[in-house]
Amino acid sequence: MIKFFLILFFSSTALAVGNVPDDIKTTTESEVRLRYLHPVKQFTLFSEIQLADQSDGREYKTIFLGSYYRFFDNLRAGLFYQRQYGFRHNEDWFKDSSAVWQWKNTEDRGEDLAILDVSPKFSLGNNWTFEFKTRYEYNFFNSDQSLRLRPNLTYFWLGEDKPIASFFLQAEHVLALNYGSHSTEERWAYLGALYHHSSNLQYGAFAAQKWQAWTSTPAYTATTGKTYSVDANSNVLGVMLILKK
Amino acid sequence: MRLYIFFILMSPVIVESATGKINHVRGEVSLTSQGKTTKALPGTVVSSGDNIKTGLKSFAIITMDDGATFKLGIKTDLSIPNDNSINLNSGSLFSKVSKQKPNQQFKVHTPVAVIGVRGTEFFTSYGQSEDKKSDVWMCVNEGSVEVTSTKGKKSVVVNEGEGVVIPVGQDVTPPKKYAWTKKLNWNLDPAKGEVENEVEIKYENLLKEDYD
Repeated sequence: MIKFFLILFFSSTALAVGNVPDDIKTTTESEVRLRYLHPVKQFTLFSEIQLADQSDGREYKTIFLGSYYRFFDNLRAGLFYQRQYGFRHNEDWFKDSSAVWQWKNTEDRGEDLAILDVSPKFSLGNNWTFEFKTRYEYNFFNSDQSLRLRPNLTYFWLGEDKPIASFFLQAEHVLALNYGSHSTEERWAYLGALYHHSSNLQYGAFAAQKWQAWTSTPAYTATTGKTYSVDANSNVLGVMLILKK
Repeated sequence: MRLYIFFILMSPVIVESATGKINHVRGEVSLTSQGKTTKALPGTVVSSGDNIKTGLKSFAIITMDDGATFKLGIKTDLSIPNDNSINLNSGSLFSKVSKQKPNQQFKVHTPVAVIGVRGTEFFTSYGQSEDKKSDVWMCVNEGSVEVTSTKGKKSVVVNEGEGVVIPVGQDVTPPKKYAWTKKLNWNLDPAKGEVENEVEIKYENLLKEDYD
């Protein structure tokens, strides 16, 4: 009888653990970001390719295209299109045909996003700028809407007539507007440096801390009768190459 | 008696008129005087109300009767009003102004700033290229210059070797040493060597330093 209860206890615990994505450990991820900026009068055509090796060895790839328009020296706004592969949503935690809960492989799933960006920037003395980037993102794949807020403090080490290097500190919050159960679904803290090889070429590196919340979906709750909220932390190391016309 | 009254009535409207001469010309330089535009040649007299324009790869040097000398850079538009001043409508200008009387300043007007001097050598650029057309850049080679933005919140004194930027609608930036200021060709006398300035005007506007 005791043996029966022990078997029942351990099996139920194992099932409960398997139901939620709680095997997420702090991981170290890597990123490469390549950008090209092409100013045409008040417009700046902007393109970016981002390649990231995320947790579970998952590859995340994006291409980002669009243009900024500069209204004033300290205000620009932009409209962009983004195509991404390997992005993970709460809905991707699913029960497969063998009744095992696991993350769906999304590496080959393409998603299209429309992004509206407003970026006011201010001078703080001779060497500092402060930018508050605000991005509204609409994902056509699942109609998710997000607001990405990124205050950015940059110090410029200036030479005679151009910057030699710049150092930036950014805090990024991604607010879920119509999904998830947290008001903030993703947070980043960046520390980075760029070497200004010339006015046309800059390269550098950054280190970031990423925090993300995975929350149960209505489908999960309907199946299990439970809810969950799991935090995932990552350390991200990245390199950037920026080309300007 | 009638003549005496006439002079008394007219005296307040008599204004100081500036005259000078074009000393040196290279490339395409035009002079508009009393509504008539002609090619500017060395020796041409210029006076209040005149407008001088230089084209691509062109420049001109003007000496006023009071000793002030100006070198107009490429694509420059300069007017001579009826007072102790000039208007830089666009382009770049090297100015060498002799010592002024006490309580008097020579002034360079631009649409976004007024530059007042008592006797000095300085360089002003306005609307040199499309993306910088709203800003004024100014640096001093000798003496000191008082710069006031037309927004008019504050005046800044710029000393030898220093430069400032006046972004449109904003106040003057704090003066800062720019080593390349010395690289500009400050020579205004063709007899003393080459007068053409080939140094490109550069200044950093960190607000336009975008990387994402």
